[in-house]
Amino acid sequence: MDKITKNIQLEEDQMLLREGIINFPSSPGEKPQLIAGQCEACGDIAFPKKIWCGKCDGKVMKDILLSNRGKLYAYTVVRQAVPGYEVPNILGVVKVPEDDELLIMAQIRECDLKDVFNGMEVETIITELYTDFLRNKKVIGYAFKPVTVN
Amino acid sequence: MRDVYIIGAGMTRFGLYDGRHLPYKTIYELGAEACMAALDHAGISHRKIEAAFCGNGSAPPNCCQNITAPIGISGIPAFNHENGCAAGSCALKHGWETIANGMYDVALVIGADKWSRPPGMSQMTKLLAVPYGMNLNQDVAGAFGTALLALIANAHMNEYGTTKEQLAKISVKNKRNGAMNPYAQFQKEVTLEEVLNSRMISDPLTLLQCCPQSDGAAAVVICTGDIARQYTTKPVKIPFITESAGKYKGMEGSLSQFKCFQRASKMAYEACGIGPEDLDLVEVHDDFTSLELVAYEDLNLCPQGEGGRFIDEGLFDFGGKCVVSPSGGLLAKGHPIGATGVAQLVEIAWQLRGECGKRQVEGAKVGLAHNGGGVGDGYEPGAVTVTIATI
Repeated sequence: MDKITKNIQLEEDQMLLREGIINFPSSPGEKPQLIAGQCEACGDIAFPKKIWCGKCDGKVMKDILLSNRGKLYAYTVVRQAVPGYEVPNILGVVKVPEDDELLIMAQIRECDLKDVFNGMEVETIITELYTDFLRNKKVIGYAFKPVTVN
Repeated sequence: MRDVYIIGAGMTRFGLYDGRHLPYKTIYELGAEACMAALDHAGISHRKIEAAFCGNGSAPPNCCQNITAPIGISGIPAFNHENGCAAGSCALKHGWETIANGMYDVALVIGADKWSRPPGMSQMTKLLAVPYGMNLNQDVAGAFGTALLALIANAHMNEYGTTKEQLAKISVKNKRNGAMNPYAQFQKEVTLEEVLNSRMISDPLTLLQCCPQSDGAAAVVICTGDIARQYTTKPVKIPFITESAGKYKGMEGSLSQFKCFQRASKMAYEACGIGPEDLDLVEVHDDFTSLELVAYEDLNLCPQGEGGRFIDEGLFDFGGKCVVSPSGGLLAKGHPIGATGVAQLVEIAWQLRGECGKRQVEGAKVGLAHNGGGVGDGYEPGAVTVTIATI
């Protein structure tokens, strides 16, 4: 997991949403993936990862990569947000194949407002999410976009 | 455990005490006004209060002490609670436990908050409200509260066929109730069309389906049975208060129900030997219409997925199965964060004593308050309380 952040070059005016939650592609053929935590004792998966397990006594959580693809479980079009976020934007909750109880909140990008629907196939992307203007930096993080069929 | 009773309940009108909408008042003035109303309602001297508990989210440290000092209550144990929108009911639970356990005999429970700011400060307020880097989902959403409740509405519509009209009808009902409540921030009825056509905030939730920003305070005097009988022939008993917190994956992969509401209400029903069919009125945490909708189902007032139908059939209206949010709820009465949980009990105490005038639920004997707040682990609220009251 040492490639976690080394494959992203940030500009002067950019910052990461969080360290250690996105596996950045190391070659053009690779896709970005979210890094979850899995309890070594009971196998429970959490994103963002926990330090200790919330389901058992386990205290060792290993990093695992979640699938790059998932399904949009629920969505809303956010038309009013705190400063720094462009509106309207689509905010969704995505389910990935690894764990049906895992709900991943994420912005849905590269999708027309009228084209979004429950059950839509989506894939993880890396994009600029918002501007943190306490630090005056553009925040780079994860989002999902519709899977386009070629 | 000893039985605990409410013998006095009072509150300020909720609204914006910013000098434009309502006369300017500080949070301490609002708190003191509510305390004096509750103490006068009980007919008990302020000098009898042995401990004070206050729910609050916006004041500097020691809100409780600063509220009570000007009305001659000081030098007693005073406790301040922050627990998001459930701060008030958590203060009540703390006070209730101390009376039940024999620590004190008479206590004052306060909820007070003030969110209006001078003009020009609103951007700063927003910045202060959401510090980046605190909670991943808050950072990703940029509008966590509204967006989350919109996602819940979307999931419920998708899973059960609930319609946006059914959601909007919840606001119509609560604003109709609020129009009969002189303590409500909004005392005006709205039509279904007005709710649906108001500005979209986060689909499908329109502006009139979101509670307002509010200032205000509420207070109750709680005590043992022996003391209650000295002061009133109509003591309101609080047989139990449960508190639960959202847990990671507690929703088991579904946004259409809050398992922490279900846990808290099940515990409360079992502890009191009371079922949802016994309830005459319920004050729910309707900060958004979708939260009232899921509360119907999670509190077991109707079967899972049938909240929309119950609304269509008016079963939560006056004359229905059980009156939900007779005060107007957070949507009409307003939502001064820390005051809400206490104000719910003020309404229930007044209702059970038959003192609610035009919005009186006839013959009300059993009430339930549901108060949820903050961001917990995962998507559920950080704190949820269910309080049952009887007379």
